Amino acid sequence: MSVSSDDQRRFEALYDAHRPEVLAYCTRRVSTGDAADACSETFLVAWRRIDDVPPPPRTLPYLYGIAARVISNHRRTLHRRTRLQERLRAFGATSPRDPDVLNVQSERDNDVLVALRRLKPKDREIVMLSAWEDLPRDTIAELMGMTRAAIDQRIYRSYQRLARMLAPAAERSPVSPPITETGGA
Amino acid sequence: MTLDQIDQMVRAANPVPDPTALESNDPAPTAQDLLQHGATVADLEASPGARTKRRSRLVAAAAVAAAMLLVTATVLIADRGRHARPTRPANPSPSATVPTLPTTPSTTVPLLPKGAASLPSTGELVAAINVRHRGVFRLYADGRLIDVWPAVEQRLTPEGVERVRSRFLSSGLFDSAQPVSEIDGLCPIRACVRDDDHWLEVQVDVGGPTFSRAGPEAVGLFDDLERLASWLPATEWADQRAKPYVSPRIGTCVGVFVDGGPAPFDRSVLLSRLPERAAGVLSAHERSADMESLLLPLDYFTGGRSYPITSSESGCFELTLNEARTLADALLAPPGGGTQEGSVIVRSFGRQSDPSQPGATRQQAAHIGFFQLLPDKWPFAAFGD
Repeated sequence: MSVSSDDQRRFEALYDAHRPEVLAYCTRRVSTGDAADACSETFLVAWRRIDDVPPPPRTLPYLYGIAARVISNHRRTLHRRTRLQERLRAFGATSPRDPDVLNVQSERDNDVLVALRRLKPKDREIVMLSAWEDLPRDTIAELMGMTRAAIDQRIYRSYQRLARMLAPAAERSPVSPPITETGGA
Repeated sequence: MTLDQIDQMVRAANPVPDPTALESNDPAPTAQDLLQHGATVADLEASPGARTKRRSRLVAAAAVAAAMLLVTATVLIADRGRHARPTRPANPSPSATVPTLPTTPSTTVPLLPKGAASLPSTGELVAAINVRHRGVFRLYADGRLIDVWPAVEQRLTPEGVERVRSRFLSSGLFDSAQPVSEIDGLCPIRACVRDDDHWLEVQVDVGGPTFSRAGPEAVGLFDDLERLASWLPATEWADQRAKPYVSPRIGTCVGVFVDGGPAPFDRSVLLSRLPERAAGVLSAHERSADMESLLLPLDYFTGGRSYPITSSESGCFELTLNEARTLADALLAPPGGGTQEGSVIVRSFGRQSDPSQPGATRQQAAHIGFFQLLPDKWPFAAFGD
């Protein structure tokens, strides 16, 4: 690959602008140490495809798409190291920024995370992209290769499922109307 | 509870609500750092051994890709025949396309190795080295030298074991290592060697998912192990032929999923729902805490889920190869009812009543994953690329 200084400057700008969001995306899905690796790998892929990186506002979703693939491709490696981190944790070597620690800081948050885990993988990813990465639903639809209507429906159904899982049995009443979109990137 | 409330709860549970907070605790590498690391990929791949391995992996990957393409095409054609639906126009410009997220892989891989098991069924580790993206060598006291990728073994005499162990010690890699009484037997991204009554262990690699930063001593030692035949005397080989390593012990984990999500593991309920022959294999064994601690954090039978399964949601057992083969056969052969999905067997139990919600039913299934174990019981799957 021939490297021009323009490419390098463009990459540096891309990295500086979006590393925090990409690192956060990875940290929400794998452990902290693995997330750093996955984030670096994501930007290395972006560097190799620097000519393909779309301009804002599509840049970040594009990077999320790469990060998702990186995490998927390296899941086995990542989990091997996750296991090692868990063993370290058993010896008290826990990072205070470890997401698992953050997760259990609130009982309610932990319940939500457990419930999220029980969603189907694709539904969970859609919910996370919407609620955590704060992506507009049209962008999520493009990222997931689905229609906007399908995304709305998936989020609606996922929230229904989450409501059933999170609400006490006594409160399981007819579900309220679909929520409206609350935010976007 | 309204769905707006659910939305607020999900947003509140975001483990990283403020991305910039991550940076304050963990100084970020610069773009320059990253590009510099990326360059080391080429450095590592310049070594002949790495090139050879890479070439053979590429050939294997091409074969797998071709098989996947064939399967995918077959499925697509069949699917299109069943559900004619309008196709969306392809996006003409790759630069304008957001990469879509990956879907669960649908490849069919061998669940268990073929052939006679490698004996003895257990072995004591003498030395090991693991260099990212090149491979893993593990030397055992009984003479087995196992190349974890692609799972082949050669056999040395006791003199050969000693010579290779000496090569580890003289590599320079351990010159500054402090002796320790115990090691993490996995030696992840590390090298270790037994020296009298203690161990020496060093980290050899601080690279990333696609690059290695192993030092020259580690690379030199790894090169020597790859071309062992060129320097180990013929008299110190017990069997120089590289044979597939067939694990005599198989770590086997069973997880129960309800409506696609992990559910509490209840051994007695599980056994009552499995075919008799399959239940017979598992009922002869207690759950293995060792296997659960080793295997559960691996992302094996979860079909690409983001979170590891816990011991409350699945149980692991240590089976002999023959028992594992019996279990797999009992599930896959008619009328076992199981299907292979990727590297696991999925056995659906259909819709079952939900004790927490009278009158409700949930789709339930068991996922059974098999893990080849090395002589010291570490699973192959623990050694990522």
